[in-house]
Amino acid sequence: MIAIVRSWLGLAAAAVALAAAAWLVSEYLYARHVTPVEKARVEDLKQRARTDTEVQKVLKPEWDRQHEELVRRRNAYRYGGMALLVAIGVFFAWMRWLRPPDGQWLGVPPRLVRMLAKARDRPAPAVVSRARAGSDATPAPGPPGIDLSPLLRHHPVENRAVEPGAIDAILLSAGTRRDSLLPVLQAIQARYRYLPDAALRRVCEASAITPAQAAGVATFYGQFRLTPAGAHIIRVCEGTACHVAGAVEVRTELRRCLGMTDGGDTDPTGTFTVERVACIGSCSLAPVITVDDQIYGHLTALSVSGALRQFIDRAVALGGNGHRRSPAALATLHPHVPGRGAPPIEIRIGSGTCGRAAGADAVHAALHETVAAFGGGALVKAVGCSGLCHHEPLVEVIAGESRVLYGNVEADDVRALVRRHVPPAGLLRKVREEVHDVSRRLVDDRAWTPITSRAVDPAPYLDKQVRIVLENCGAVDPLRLDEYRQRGGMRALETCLTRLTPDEVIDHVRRSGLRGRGGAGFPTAVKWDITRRSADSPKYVICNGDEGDPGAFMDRAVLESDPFRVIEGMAIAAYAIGASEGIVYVRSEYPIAVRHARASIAAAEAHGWLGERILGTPFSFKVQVREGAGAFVCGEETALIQSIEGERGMPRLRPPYPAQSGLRGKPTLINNVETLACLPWIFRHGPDAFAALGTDTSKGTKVFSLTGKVKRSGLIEVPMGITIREIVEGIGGGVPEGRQFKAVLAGGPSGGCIPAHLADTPVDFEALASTGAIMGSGGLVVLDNRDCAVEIARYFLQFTQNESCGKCTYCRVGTKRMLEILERICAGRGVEGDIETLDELSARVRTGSLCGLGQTAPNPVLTTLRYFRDEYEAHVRERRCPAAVCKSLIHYRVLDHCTGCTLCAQACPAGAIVARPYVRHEVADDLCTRCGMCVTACPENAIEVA
Amino acid sequence: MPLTLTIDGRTVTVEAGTTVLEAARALGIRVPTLCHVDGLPPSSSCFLCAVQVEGKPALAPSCAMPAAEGMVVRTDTDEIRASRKMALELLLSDHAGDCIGPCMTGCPARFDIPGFLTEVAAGHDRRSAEIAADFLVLPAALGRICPRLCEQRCHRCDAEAALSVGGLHRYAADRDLASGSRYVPRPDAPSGKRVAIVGAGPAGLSAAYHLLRRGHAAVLFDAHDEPGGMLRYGIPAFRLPHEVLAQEVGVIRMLGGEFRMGVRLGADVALDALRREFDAVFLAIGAQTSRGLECPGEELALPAVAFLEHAATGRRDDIGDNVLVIGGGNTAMDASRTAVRLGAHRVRVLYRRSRREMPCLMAEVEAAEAEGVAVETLVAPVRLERSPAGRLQLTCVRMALGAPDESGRARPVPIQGSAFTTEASCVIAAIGQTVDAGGLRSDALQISRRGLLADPATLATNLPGVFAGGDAVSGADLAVRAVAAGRLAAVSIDQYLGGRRVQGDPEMVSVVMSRLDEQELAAFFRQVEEAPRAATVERPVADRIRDFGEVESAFEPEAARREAARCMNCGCWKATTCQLRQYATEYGADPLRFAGARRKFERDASHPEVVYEPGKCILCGACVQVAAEAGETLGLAIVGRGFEVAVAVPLRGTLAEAIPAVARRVAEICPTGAFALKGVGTCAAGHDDRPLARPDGRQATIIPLRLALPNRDQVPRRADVPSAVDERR
Repeated sequence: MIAIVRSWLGLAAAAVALAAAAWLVSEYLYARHVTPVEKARVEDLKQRARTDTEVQKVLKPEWDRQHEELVRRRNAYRYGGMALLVAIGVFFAWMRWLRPPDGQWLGVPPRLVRMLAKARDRPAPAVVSRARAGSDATPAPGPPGIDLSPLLRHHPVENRAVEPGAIDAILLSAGTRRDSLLPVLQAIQARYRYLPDAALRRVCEASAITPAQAAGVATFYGQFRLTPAGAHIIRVCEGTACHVAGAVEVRTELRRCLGMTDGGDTDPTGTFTVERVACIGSCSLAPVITVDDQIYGHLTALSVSGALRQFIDRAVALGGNGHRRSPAALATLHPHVPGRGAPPIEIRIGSGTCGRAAGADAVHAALHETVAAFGGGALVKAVGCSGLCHHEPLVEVIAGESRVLYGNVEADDVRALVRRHVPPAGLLRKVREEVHDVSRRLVDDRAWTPITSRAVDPAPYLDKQVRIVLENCGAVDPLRLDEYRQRGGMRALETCLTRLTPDEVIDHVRRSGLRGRGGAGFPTAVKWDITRRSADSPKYVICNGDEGDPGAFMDRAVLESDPFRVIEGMAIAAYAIGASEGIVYVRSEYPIAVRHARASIAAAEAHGWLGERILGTPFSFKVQVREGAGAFVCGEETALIQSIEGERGMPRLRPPYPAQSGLRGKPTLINNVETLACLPWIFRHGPDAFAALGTDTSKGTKVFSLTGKVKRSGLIEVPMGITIREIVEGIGGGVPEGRQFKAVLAGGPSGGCIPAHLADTPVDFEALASTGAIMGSGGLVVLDNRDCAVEIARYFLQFTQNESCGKCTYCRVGTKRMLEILERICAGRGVEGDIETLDELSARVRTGSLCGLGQTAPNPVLTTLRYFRDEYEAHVRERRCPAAVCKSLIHYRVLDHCTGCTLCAQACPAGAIVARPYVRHEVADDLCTRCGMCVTACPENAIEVA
Repeated sequence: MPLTLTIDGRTVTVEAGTTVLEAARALGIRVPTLCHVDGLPPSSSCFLCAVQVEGKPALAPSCAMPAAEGMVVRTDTDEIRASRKMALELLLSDHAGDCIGPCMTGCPARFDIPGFLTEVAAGHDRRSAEIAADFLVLPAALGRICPRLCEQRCHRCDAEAALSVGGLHRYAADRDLASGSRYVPRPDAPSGKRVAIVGAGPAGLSAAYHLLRRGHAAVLFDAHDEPGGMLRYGIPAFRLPHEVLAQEVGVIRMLGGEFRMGVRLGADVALDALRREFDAVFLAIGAQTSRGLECPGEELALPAVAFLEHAATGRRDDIGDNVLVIGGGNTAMDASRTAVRLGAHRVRVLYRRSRREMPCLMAEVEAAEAEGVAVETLVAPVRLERSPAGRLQLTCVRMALGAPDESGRARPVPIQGSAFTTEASCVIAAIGQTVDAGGLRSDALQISRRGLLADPATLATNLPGVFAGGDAVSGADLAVRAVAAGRLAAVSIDQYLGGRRVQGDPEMVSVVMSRLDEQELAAFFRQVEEAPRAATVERPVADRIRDFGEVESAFEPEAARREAARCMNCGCWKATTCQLRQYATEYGADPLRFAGARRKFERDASHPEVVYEPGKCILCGACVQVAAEAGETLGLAIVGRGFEVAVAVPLRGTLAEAIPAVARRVAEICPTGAFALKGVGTCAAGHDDRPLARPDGRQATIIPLRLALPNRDQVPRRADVPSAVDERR
């Protein structure tokens, strides 16, 4: 309706403008063509008639005739000109608003309609011919590369020389013991963007760190680089969700438009370095890249160069430091001033990693500025992740009882949003805003779209969820201890410390039935009990936040959105086992989580919730944060301990278990973030309330990151026992239209796939294991019929092979051989016997590896072999990829309904599309690199992949 | 606190803190391990010491697993053995090095070429002749006619040209034969057992040599008047003079071998009679029947075997002036060159495939052409007739090459309408030979389509005490394979006669590096000086076609020593002590099972004491620990992740800086040849007069990679490198 009104108003305005223009033009034409000659003659006659009556008499009829002729001509010009302009106007109007939907209209030949339609929408089509076409060949087209010169002018690439003093300063702050190595290397890399040899030598001279240790560690962790890097670092996420959404194509295109043709990872000017990162945990926005601290999501091969240009423009515009004013700085600039007598209005903006990737920072800044302009009638609050990641950036407005949630908010929407909920303070502001609104409506079409169109009903997403771990996520300011406490925070710790003995605490946990949420599902109380009964001391509690599983981001979200909860859980655990020291080990790929963990620890210490003699009891507990450095295997307990001790994250045989001999050889309790985050709720609501949820063997809730080919992706928390189907179809809204639900990947590279026909499997440790998958840390990546099972297995194996610490023969060489076979199969070079060899290798790698990484690495292969063996056979025997994914086995073909717009040819980086305007294009199979850019570019869906 | 556990059904009591490995050793149970070094903390990386602990789903490395009360352990189930075998296969698949020189793995007789060449280069004539004779039995003969598979694999091929191995053992043997005090091995004490050997060709002679050395009596039966088999009757004297062969056969006579010539199996003596009279029988009857042309009129053609035999015995066939030889093997070349010497003015060789597919040595083709032989390819006979005038008329059809057949060579396809007829005074069929087992048909001996049937590992037939080998089993094949078969038969017969289990001669598993890339070649040749291959002299063509005198001359002593010194000793310094190789042999691991990407060959010889070849490292990390414990300033580090993990010198230092103090210890504890002491140990397998071999020609564990390539064009070809792959002699 609005659109119609809008279009009629627009039409009327256009008609008025046209009429005016027509009048002006006709006057002009008249003046130009009639006046100079005719008018002079008439004037001359007039003059003579006035002075001479004889002449007057004779010439009167002639004068009249001349005058009539003049009027006739003038009218002809006027009406002709007006008609012409009106015709042009109508033509444009027809093209703009009245175009028939299917191009068939009033007997106009379809080809003409198409031609006109193209003329309407597109720049004139370029004649694109293929390189092979002969003498009229033009060089391969494709979008041009990125011009880096503006950025280079503002940020010349400079590489610092290594100054021993700087290294010594780093050692002074990070420490000189062996276990300081990771923080030391991180600090060096932050300074030089890589680890210069000279710096490492200096470290070895001036500390207890040995060259062997430094070299081993520097080459083990993915974060570290030993060759100089460009001025800006682009990280391409290769997590599962990004992979199935086309991360490979994004990376290829990124390298292409930066002119990185050789094998190196830095462009020729040294401006950008492109790195691959296992997962940055923004799976709902897949595929994602980060450029320095900026995140860009939902990329395609076509849009990636735009993202890069945006980064460059921004960096240039900000004149150097490349950073916007942070929302935090804005908050101090525009402090909240509650309106007099008005109900408190709270505006929450989701500012987790996903939100920021989707543009939350700009919205946040706009909110602050707008609310300030309105007189500060509301509190703007940055909160964590509410889980509805597919709607980020999310803004929630809470005014008394009413709560309105807005999704996909842009900075431009903020005015309308604030205007709807926050009355301007004072008469002057009211008038000003009213005038502002009217005037804006006159100039800005968007202003006619009411903000209510952004409102989101979260019910279908939230109804089946039960929020225990996530109870505060998206509701509290993650760094405000007072807010956490208002919502019952620290009460559980208080209860434990003041009313329960450690044994009673463990007993509570036992009654709750809580099992480790890191993947294996070991009963938490048993682990605590063993650690408590270990005679040695001191004891340590480690919070395992090394969420390396690509496609999972629940630990990140909890640490970002509700870090106090994790601290409280750790303190309870420490009290129960008798530890006085704790370490939060977080992936460095999660900078916000690291920051929030550090800040919350500082705040808790400041308020006496950590430190000496907490609440006046004898219990003391200190916590520090250690950053990982990009190694999946460090999620494994013994490797994690090695990592904290400053060594290569190489697992060792268990027993002895860390509970007996862990960090520094002392009893160590290692619990996952989510496990610890359950504890405050358990102690506030009682273990029985927790045990009431779930199944016989799996109690409580489980947080999943639901991503992949699903309509509503995000972070969810469901009671154990819910079925996979309820999650995918109920909460996630099913796969996109026109596709079929194929399988769910559970547990990442250690897990496996659960096919659609087993989707009624309940979420339960044992039930999931029976399918061959595992509960894992909680990544659920949904696949549809355009995902190839073999290719997914290959992807996971490449991941595990890459992440293998290289210790065990089976894991180091065995997975490599499996990967080679899978690569061969995907490339259409599989041979009879390959599938059987895969089976055999899988079985042996499983039993012949020391740690969980190797033991579970074959799971994706085993489960896809179990459920999609026919796809493997199709690849090997028929050289066919049923899902049309494997590049060597597919072909692109242009369908008959191609309109000949040449867009695909312009997008094709390989020059493989023969495109003559308005004629159906063709793909040259031998030149085609199967990058899929043409499919993305085609507005008519006229390119078939098979 | 002592605790008790059960290992393989036996209980043992050990102190707490003991590992399962130590507990097993206390019981005398041998658990294999590569990565564990006593005194160092467990590395638990190789997974060879994996054992099954009851109640655990995965296998556990016993070197790191602490013994626990009541633990039940199995160390040697099928599952564990399979796991160990696969672990070894995976390690071997990523092993960048040759265990023994690739020449040795290429030689069917496993001739210790590097050891032999070392002696030649040192000027030890007698010693080198001993090695040659003990491995090859007929080194002077083989030195003249062997297609020298060894030379095709010589790493020198990648620099200038292969070592002249054949020329050198001819040189060594010739000098020994001419010395007057020729080498005759000292046999063991007489065993009192007698063995009948049917066929005095290379296989029979080789078996006799090795049986006689082991103290058994050997009686050789042969239908011909002279011993030597095809070497005597199938190879023209201008390639192998009869007196050279006679001298080498003389050694067997000196050892006590008895020859009963002119005795034909089946006609003059029956197998049953031999079995009654002798303790064992070795059938080495060869493949001596020429195959026909397989076209109408084939009976009009002269079989090449008969033609050559007549020439060798001085009987002259009437071949006329215009000779056509059909076939592309060495027999065809020999026949054509013999025909030239018998006075034919026009000699043509017709072959149905192209030159590239010819199974003979390229050098032979070139020699024949030099002597005036015309080689026509892509021609196949379809009909042979005798014209009314008495001339032979051969109708041929031209061929085109089609898709590769099962032998990997292009299959010839006739071109329609290309038939033509040519005249000749004589047509010689040199298509190939088959086994004539007619004399054995009535016995219970099993016979296959190809020849006699024998177990490839032991050469035993289905009849107890009867063994068979050489061309009789494999079909017409290389003489050196027959020699190898003779020795395998001798080993098996010796086992049989001694009442031991007949198991043949199991061979050590050897890794053979596949083709080296540019970077690896650079590493390989870093410390090698360029040296050209020594040339031999051939008699001028005009001179040599007039008689049957030898064409090629031997090396001069100085040239021979210089040539032998070109050998780079490509084998591993730890070939005999490498634990990986020993376990691989014990578990029957196949190095090529998981062939795929492997680390690059790299060699760091910058350290004064040790050589480091990272491609042979199994990542046990023992060297890293030893260096760290010794307090080396720089030390060694494990670097990288995933498949790329390696042991390296940290911070771009040199090996000499890294381990100045503990280099020797590092080389000692290294379980493979990754770290080896310079100048200690041997590159070659070492000379042993009973060398390990598997001379049946079917290499079970080593598939020579360059030969396994589908297209022979991919094998580097140089004028001086023999190109024959399946030549028929």
